[in-house]
Amino acid sequence: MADDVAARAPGLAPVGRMPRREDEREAARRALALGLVNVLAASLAAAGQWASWRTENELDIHVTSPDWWRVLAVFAANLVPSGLAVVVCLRWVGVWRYGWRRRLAVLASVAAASSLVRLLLLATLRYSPADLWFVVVEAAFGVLAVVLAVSLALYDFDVGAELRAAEVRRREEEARAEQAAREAQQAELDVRRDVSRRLHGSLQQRLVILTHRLERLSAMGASGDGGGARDGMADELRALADELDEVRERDVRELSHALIPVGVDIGLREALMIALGRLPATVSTSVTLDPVVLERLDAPDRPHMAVADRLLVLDVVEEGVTNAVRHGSAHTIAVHLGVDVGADVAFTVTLDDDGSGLAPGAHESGLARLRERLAKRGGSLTLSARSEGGCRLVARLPLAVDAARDGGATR
Amino acid sequence: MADAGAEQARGLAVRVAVVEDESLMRWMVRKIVEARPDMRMVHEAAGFAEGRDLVQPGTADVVVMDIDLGDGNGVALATLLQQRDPRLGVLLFSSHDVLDLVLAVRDTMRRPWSYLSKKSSLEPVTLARAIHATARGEVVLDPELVGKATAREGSALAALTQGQMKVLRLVAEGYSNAYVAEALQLSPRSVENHLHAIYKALDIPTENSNPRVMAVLAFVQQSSRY
Repeated sequence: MADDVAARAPGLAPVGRMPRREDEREAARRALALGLVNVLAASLAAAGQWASWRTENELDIHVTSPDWWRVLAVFAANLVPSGLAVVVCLRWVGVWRYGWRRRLAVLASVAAASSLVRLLLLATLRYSPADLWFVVVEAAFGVLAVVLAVSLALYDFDVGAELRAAEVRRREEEARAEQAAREAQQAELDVRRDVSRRLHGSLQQRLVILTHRLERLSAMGASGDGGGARDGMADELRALADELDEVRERDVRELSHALIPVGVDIGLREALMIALGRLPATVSTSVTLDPVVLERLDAPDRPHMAVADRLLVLDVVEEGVTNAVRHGSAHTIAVHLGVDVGADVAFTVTLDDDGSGLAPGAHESGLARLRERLAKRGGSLTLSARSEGGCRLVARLPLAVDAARDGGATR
Repeated sequence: MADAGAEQARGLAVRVAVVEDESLMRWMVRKIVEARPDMRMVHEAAGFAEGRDLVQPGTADVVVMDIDLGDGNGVALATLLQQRDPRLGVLLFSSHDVLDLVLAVRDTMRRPWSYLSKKSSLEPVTLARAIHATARGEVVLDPELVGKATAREGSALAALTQGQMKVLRLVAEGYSNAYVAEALQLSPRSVENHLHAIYKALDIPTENSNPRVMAVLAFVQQSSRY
């Protein structure tokens, strides 16, 4: 457990890092205090026991009288080596950093050493009868006091570590959500700005010119003479109608596409077909679907996918196709929508093209943003070269469990 | 074609329903339909909910469906209506170019859909032709978009001869073989031959219940208007 936590530390986002270190130091201090309290209690018990044993000693052996300083010395002989052992384990070596095997190795050697020192100290105080069993039991007690003290402290540390890790994850999640919300706001603002710019720019411009031409035409009509002028007016009117139609077709449609791509409100497949239909004649595309997707996942009358997710998938396809055509000079692009049941149930979009393969850097720039957006949804994006030439772009988007279960039932 | 002939022989006009949230557009469609003896307007709905309640199975032959409805989308409504009544023909119309939607519904619906832009559907002849052909079970595409379409490079469609392409374009606009023959100054027999050559080139099995529809869908799939 401690190993896992330590290993994960370098990968953590900067936001989670600072408070985490602080937490760990705090926990190590706590473990040290706990260990010391433990050995203190054991030492008190040992000294107390010795004192009572001395007074109740009915064996006919030569003993010294239970002076108060001697009781104190026995207490110190218990406390100092054990306390040092705890300090060595938890403070100097910091065994909580390691796995159980290494912890035990350190603990065993330190406990044995402290037990030996303790025995020697006690012997100088003539604390005990020189019976072999008595020595063995005393030695075992010394080892046990240290092992128990340190193990309890480590147990507490590990339980705390799990809680801390959960807390860190929660904090990271929160930070990520906040970041995503901020970026979504920014993205919305960008779109608004873009639409507003285009409304004020080209569209406004064209409408102003059209109005001007109509006014001139009206003036011509007022001064109206002869058939020649009427012919000219008919031509001009025709041209104006064409121009108006072009404004509708181009400017207005592009603007509305920038706001929300056509078809996204209907369904993913519908939006996809419309998007692919817009490709120039030099590119041919095909779309295949797993039956699960077709039957369960997303249909106009049973929408399972959030519009935001559809938009994300659509953006992946549009970006992938644009890249394949622009950078890879691809002519054929195959799009496949599927469901991948791996570690989690995920919706997958795969784009295979027959272009020139991976051009370093060229593809990546545009995909980085998408990769980020997918990551925020818990998904991923991978671009790889295909053995038969061209590229493969795979986007993975985890599914909500209910949609996945519905899909699973039809398999 | 035979169906429509029989229908007219029995004096049955094609029953048309329209679902459109803009009242002016709805009114114009009604005017066009009412002006013709071979069609009659049976339902007019201003939105998803109204359309769902009004267009009951067996009460209409073709529904003229706007895509952007105020309270839902027309594709979902048409899917629902056609599931309830598999004999109902669907003619989508929209101000956006969403011709490719006819491809999207191909896999899920047994009866394919037609598509007109709002601009074209205001031409009485075009709308009437589209309604009739859709009632017969054919796929009709917007004539302006068909005119703009060019075959995608390397597709089977690109391998058609100019003559075959002309025939297919007219078929995609919902014209009958007789009209195609007249328009292209061919014999009806020669139009038939062209069509068979087209099916073969596009790899459409002629024993298929409706190769004509398959050919039109292949036309959408393998062409570009951009």
